[in-house]
Amino acid sequence: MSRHQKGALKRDIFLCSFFIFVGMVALVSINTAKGHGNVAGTQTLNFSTLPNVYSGLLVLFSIMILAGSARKLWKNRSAQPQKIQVDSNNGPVASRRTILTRTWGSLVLLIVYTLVLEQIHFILLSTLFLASLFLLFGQRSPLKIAGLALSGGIGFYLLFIVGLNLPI
Amino acid sequence: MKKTLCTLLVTMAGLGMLLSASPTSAADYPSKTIHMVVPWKAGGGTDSIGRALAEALKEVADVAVVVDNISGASGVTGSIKVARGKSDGYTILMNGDTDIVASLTFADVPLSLDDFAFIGGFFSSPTWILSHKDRGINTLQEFLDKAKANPGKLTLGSTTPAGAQMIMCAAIKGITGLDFRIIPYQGGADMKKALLGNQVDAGVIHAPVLLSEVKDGLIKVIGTGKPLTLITHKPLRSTQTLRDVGIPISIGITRGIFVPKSTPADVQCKLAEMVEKAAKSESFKTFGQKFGFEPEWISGPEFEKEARESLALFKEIKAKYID
Amino acid sequence: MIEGIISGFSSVLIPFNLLLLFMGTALGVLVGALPGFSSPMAIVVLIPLTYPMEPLPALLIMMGVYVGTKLGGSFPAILLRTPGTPAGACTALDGYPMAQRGEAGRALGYATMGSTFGGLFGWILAVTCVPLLSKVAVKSSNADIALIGVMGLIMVSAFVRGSTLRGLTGVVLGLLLATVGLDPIDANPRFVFGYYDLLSGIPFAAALVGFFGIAVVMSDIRMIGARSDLVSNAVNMALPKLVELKTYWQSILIGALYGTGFGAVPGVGAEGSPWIAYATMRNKSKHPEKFGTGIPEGILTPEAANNANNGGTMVPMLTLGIPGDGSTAVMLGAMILHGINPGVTLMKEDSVLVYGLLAGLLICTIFMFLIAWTAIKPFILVLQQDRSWLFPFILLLATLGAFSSMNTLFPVWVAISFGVLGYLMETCKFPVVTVVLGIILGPIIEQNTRVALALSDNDWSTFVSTPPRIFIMAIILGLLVWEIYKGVTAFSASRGNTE
Repeated sequence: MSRHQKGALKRDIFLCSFFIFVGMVALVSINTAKGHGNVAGTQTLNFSTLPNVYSGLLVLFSIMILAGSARKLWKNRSAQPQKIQVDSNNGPVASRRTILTRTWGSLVLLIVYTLVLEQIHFILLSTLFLASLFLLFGQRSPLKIAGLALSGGIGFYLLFIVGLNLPI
Repeated sequence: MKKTLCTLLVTMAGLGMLLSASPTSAADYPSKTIHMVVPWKAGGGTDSIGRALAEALKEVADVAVVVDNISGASGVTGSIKVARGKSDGYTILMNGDTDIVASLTFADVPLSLDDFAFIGGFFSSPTWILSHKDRGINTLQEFLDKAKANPGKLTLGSTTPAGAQMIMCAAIKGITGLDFRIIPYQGGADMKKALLGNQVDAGVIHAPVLLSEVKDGLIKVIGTGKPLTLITHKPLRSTQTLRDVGIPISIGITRGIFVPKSTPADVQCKLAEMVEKAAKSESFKTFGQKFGFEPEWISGPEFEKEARESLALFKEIKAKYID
Repeated sequence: MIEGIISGFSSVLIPFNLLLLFMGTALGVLVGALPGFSSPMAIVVLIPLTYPMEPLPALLIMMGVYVGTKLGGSFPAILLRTPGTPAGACTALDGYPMAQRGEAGRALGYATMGSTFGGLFGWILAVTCVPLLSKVAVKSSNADIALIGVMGLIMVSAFVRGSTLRGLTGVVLGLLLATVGLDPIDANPRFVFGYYDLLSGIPFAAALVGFFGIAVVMSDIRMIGARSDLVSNAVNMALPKLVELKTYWQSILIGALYGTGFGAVPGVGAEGSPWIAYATMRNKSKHPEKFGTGIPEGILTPEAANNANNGGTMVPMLTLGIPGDGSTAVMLGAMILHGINPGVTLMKEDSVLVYGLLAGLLICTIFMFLIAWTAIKPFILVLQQDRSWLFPFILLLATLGAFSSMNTLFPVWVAISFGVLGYLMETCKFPVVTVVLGIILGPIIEQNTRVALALSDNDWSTFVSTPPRIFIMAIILGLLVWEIYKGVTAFSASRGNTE
């Protein structure tokens, strides 16, 4: 089977394991929590009933999907014909590595921005944030980058801080 | 390229931090915008009261007063944010004392009454018990008698499962020892709907919600947690209180202003002066009258005493009747 | 009633009020088109600004924003797959594929017409049936709402056809996420892990911003550098002819009915109505597999539903003083601030206001159509730019929008987490939509079921004790049987193919 399909199955397995983990944690957490008084006395449905049901089902379904993907991967059978992602736009699309760098890179930048949002001056930080993203996404003209980033920073400042009175 | 970006970042970060620091002088307080934090979503009862006060405070203080809705965890998030925030008097918290006390009672939160300095309370209202007219219950005593005659059949709704209203329901049930069912709802709108739809025998909600329906005769006030002497609708002033039927507690809610404990004393004084003036101003009085209650001013120390008493009471009731 | 409406129009059709309505609607369309920004936020900002005004003009401008955002939110949904408001998320399902085919103008046209007609029908329904709808709203009890929630959940399966197991996993994950926080009945903390912010649960708006804003940007980064054909064709909105619209009357009608109904019954969750209307249309369509590929019905239905919501929510807001969604909650607060007492007596005490607002709603809908028709070019121009310029702005907007939903950093972290989750799920072909529906419907089902049981003293027969409940229960059973039947036939057909 193609590398692409193998990768897809591996991702399935990763995600399903994550769900199983989440479900397990949920089951453990809800069943070790001590509930205080049943004021309304709905005995059949108490605070842990539905979370138990949902986490149980989550684990069950994830195991089923995981098993299916693992079996396919092992038996090396070709997967069902997947809908091939046809980008209706033709043109030079970036390499896989670039795409991954950009995706996770923008996530990192976003997290950093959120972490320091309340410490560093807003216009400054937002302008830097926008500029770094522009650079990350492949723009190279310094004038355009600086111009758009600065106007974005100032514009959002006016809109959110002055206009909306956001307490940042 | 990357190196220049890094050095640029560092220098700008440094500049940014320099720009953010700004000392304030207590002598000319207030000299810039005051942020009033209302720890609830916009549109609720507490929010409206806060906004009305903010408008009145604007005139008195001669600076802009902006309302920030910082909602979450039944008011805890906003309260904690103010408690841990700058103590220069420009970020103040507007909340109900029993709202804070209730969240301290029911949940394990990193907040305590000691984190705050109590500036004062400006809008007091008891928690009242309402019933739809078709249920045929006119007074709290009737409700209790009916509950005695029909154990396990009557239903008393509470606006929230973890608030002052629930404490009141639990107290009524626990102290009288009667067997009726408490139904927790998810907030004011939910409880209103249940009462208007006659789905419970009675419901506990903060006054003056549903006042216009009471005036119209659709809903009856059968009891109240504290005397209703300040309500604008005169016929209600003699409603039975909990104490009248033998339940020796008082429950209500007073909206007030809080600041972080470490706020300088003269700023606190000035703020208290301004809020008192705002609470007694014409515009706020008119709002109060339309909303249903005459605003009254409760000074800081008295406000704090009330809050601490409520906290002790709530914890006691929770320990006895809920856990 | 008729004289009331006429008098309402007469109080609204004065220049100042009309200007406010227009400004509000334009602001609404603009705000709606910005991802991360929602209608309640914009209306809250208007409160201090309109405080010095009389109540009616103040509420009229808010009404304009309320109506405008419902259409504005669809523009980025169609052109970028990122809805500007939660209400526009469902439109992306068919709007974006249609735009990708080069028919963006058509898609925008359908969205505009769907919104306009949905808004009109919703208005007519609301105004003519105010007493009936009000009674239904008041009489609806928790058991009814719980059943409707279950019905909605089963309809969610319309979104999982083809990848049932993954879809079900998504739903269950959404349902589980919705249980985070304080248990609604006994206030026991669930899955809080010491973070007191989680006590009130996962903020829905932030989760949506994450799923449909950040996740989409992360998934679509791979499209940066690929020039879109859409830019070369100067995209103008292509309004569908009325004749053509007539063939899709069912979509608009069903959307409008769901929208008005769900808006009029508080507690059912107006946010779910576009999705459930979409699911219904898909289920009863002769070509269900075409849904999601970019067909007009897929745009008309949710758009009609979310604008009909506005008419629906007017009923409980004006006749009971109970909000149907976040925006009406803020408007009720504004009323209290202006000294008005919303509630059962509002009609008696201040009928001028009530009728004025109803008249204003109709005028806003018309303005919304006109604004979209004439002013859509700048939107299209902006939204057509290269993604490497747009995405950073969208990420920043999403962050700030999430922040402004609660004014703390907590919802931003929620949005980022859901962004990552949504991205991973999309990469693995899990329908993200199902998680959203689980999050919306979970609390509705749980809270109402448990309160219904509490009211009936643990008597499960309360769910079939009145004719409406028996009716809904019958629908639920019918849907279940049908889903199982379809699932079995599809399964055996696929088995047959692979053997």
